[in-house]
Amino acid sequence: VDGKTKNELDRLLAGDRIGGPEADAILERVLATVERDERRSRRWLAPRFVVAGGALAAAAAALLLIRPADEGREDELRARGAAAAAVQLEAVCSEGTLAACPRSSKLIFVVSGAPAQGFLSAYAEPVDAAMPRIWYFSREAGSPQLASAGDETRVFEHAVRLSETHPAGRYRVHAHLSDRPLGREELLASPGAQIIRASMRAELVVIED
Amino acid sequence: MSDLRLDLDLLARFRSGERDALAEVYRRYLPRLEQLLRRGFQVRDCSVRVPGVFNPDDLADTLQEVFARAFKPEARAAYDGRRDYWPYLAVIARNMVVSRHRRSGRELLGLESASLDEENVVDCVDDPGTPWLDPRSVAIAQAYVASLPEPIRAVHAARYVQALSQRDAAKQLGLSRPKVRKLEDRMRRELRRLLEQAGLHGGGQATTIDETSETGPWTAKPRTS
Repeated sequence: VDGKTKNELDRLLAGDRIGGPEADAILERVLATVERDERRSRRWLAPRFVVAGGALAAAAAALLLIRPADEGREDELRARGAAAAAVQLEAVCSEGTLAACPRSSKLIFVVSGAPAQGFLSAYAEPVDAAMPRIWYFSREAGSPQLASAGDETRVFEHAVRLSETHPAGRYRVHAHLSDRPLGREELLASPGAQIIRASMRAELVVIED
Repeated sequence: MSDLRLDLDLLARFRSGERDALAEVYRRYLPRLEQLLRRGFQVRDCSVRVPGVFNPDDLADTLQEVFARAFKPEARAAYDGRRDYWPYLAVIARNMVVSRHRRSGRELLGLESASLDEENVVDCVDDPGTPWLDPRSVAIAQAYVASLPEPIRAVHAARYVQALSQRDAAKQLGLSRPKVRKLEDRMRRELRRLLEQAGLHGGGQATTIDETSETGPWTAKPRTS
């Protein structure tokens, strides 16, 4: 009995619903996906950051992120707009994961998946503490520009140094790649989809070193 | 279904990504999630009805995607443990359903800015969902199940009614896992033979409900709405 036929027989035996055997099979695939993602995440976040050239001293060092060519990623990206379907914007913790990011880390923004250029806007909202919103990049404070339109993985030259502004705790990070720099009010009011190339929202947990 | 937030040990193990804890959370919430995905939901503030996933293979894929996303480390960390886990999981599921509809080219006007949070959604609890299977096949299966002797009847109840894992079913019934597996295979084999005798089996070519494919001998036609 092949897998498809087996599933249909199982659904008949379960009375037109998903029964134990099919539920087992789905769970195995879920756990395999979770384990694969965690493995990839650990490998991907291992020391793969190479500081480019002589920019070591610069606070906004250009970080070249080297990613194994055969590793696809699923993440919390929320691309909007027809042209943004394949553009992925992601935040990466330089010394850990978003789920456990040491305070000494930098938060780095990465674009991949498809050719895209634009301006980065980003901010974080503390989840637990009664703290004000933390603005990373906006029209008012400066929006880094991604000039290259290549489809390779590109890293914004400006990273966020967490130690200066982030006490340990949970944050919700929002970021957009847009055709023009976005103001703070505009960001909070959900910018129009037509100028957004890619968006992301992710939970960031900052921990003490 | 007990609430994840009330089980602190499970919550801690879930957050750290222990395989057994993920499996337990999966089993606790699977039936309700299956129901939600199959029946669909209505969004209050724009009165849009988002239909359920009526193809069983699509439903299995969607269940897998929802749990895979909900079980990511970031998503596990984002669950605060102060509220029930269900609304958190349901928002992920509803977003997934809407995305699937959009990817398939179906228009869901008015949903662009709508919240899919619990308070803005009415689950279609009165809708039993589209039947997947051909009623004649279902009738044969029901008659077959009613005729099962022990211990195979108990295995059927544990695996197909309670939807227990094979390990839990074996433990509950005092049988070995290979024995449970063997009895499951026997049920499939016997049911298949009965369907073939009734001329309802496609010789291993049974198709699932799909808007773009022929409806197979075991499946019901999708309801149009």
